[in-house]
Amino acid sequence: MNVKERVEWTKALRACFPGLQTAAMTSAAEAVDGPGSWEASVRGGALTSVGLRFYGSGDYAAWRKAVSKAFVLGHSGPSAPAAGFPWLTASWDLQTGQWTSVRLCGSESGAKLKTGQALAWDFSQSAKIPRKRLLKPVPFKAGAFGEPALDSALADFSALCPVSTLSLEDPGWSLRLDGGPRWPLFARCDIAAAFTPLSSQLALFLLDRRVTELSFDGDALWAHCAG
Amino acid sequence: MNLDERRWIYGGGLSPEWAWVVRRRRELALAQLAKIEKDYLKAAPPGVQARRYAAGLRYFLKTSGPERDRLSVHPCFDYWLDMHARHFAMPVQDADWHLQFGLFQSFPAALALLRGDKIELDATADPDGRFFVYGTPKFLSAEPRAPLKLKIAGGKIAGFDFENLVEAVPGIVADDRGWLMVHGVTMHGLISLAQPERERFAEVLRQAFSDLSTRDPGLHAEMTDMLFSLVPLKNPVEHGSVSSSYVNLRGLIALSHAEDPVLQAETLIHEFCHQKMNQLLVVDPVLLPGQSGQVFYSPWRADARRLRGLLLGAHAFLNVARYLATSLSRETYPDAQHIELMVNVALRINQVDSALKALTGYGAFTEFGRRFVMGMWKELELLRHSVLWFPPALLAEQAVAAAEHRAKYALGDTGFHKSAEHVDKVRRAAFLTPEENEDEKEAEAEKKKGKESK
Repeated sequence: MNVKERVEWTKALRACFPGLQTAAMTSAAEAVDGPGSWEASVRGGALTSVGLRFYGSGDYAAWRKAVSKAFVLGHSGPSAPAAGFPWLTASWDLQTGQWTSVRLCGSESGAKLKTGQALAWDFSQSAKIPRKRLLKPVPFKAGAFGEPALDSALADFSALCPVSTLSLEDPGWSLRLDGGPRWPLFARCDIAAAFTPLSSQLALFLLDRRVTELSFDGDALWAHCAG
Repeated sequence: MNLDERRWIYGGGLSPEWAWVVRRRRELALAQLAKIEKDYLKAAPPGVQARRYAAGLRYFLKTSGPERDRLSVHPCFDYWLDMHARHFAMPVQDADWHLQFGLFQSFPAALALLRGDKIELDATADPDGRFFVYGTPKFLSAEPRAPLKLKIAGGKIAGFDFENLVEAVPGIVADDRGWLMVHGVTMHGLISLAQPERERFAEVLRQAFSDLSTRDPGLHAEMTDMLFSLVPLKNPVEHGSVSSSYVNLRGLIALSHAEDPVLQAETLIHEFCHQKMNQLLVVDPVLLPGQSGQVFYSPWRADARRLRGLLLGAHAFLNVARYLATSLSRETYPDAQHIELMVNVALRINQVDSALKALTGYGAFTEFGRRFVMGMWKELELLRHSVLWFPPALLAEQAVAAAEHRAKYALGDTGFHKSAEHVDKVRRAAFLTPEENEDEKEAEAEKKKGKESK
């Protein structure tokens, strides 16, 4: 993780949530400090979690081990996947002060993937072994969900903030945005209320960051913002 | 048609563009009615079909002409269509059918009356025990929800004693009782007036319309074309005036009584501008759809507004400020009122500026919408010239008041509304002026001193 971005992010978090203990989160994030780009994520509904997403590079094997250890999810050693060109998505519970889920994405030796596809390993506190998935993003088209209300809302949204790809993975989905609108402009959209309901409070945290992706993990909606 | 934003920002009179928008609204309303007729013939229960509601529907749909054109854009017609869409999307009882389609007969009755046609209609009295011939000032009293048989011929309805509503100006009634008129007026309290109060309510509004006809003839022409009714509202003691208008009652303005024709004109302009923008929606949304997620700082109130609210507010108050500035330059007012009007104009200029800032910064517009908002900026700048002779202290005072309001309710200098105290609890980056630095040092010294003395 880019050190300066990480420091800025945790500082902003502490400012927005006075009294928040970020030491454990910071030490985990420190373990993956390094070159690469970074995104902060906010959970919709009650703001009980925040997340980070880090697009890594460099020594993948060392990075993988650091991730397993740092996020204290009970996975280490040979069971952790061999990820190439990895990225990491993790969510942090603001109330319990713990990492609740980590997703490691990339490829593995021998994997035959089409352009745009990737493998994902989901780590959670409850499962003993990581769950492997194939990510298959497709170009976003109107009516993609087959639900009139959702499709209509997304059509309006896409006219304001173009959506580039859609990844469907039961029970969730994610929409990668084309270019990524600045958060204040994203916030004025109809659908933004579901993703960032506390927009006034979040203003000091998200500033004018770009919203790069919207996702639903089967439990909650997330907005991912480029740091 | 490529709309000219200049004629929509201020009153542009009964231009071809205005007529085109009204025609479009009428076409949509009649298309909706044709669909309702089809559904009625297919789904109305036999007991309802036994009454001749279908005859009224058919007569209204097939009879073209200026009288029907006018009735198709009546606010009660608007409300009747809206009520049907809301109620008949759910399971309904026979009584709902009778009320909905029995009340509709008001429109074919008015059409036949105005044209001198001969027709017999089955109608239903409203739940308050009246039947209004909307589009005319006439109404009759009956038992609530009573079935009525109307025989119309030669411009008369036989067998009933009709009363007349008071008209503020020809074609615009003061109506505190029409069921389809007041049922949808939900903001602020309705008030039922005694006859002398009704007369007075209408009389002040008559004067306001008269003033408008000379000070803003374009707007006056549009108003007298679009408006049908003025509904009186209760005026709580703490308010100078209350008013409202509704997207499903286009052509109706609800407002409290005031003895001041300038205040009434201001209220009429404000609400009419909202109505005009609501009517414009049928051809252009101005703001692209899908932008009501975030609420924004409102320079008019303590609570937040959507972008559309800011758009409507900026448009209405720009028109109000211009009217008041014109009134000030043309009329002589007592000193107190003169100052009050200048304060009002200066206040509105600051508020419109603030609303336009948020709109421009955050909104995404249609092609017409972009020209419309840019045009409002231009008109605001021109309006600043008309207040050059105002006392500088008065203008400065209003600028300070606007800044104080912003500091209290806006999130910094952004367009966002400061909705939670949480935001102000967040520690900001340190920045102290030399004076503040001194104060801080003094406070620390005092603290130290206190500790030592303990």
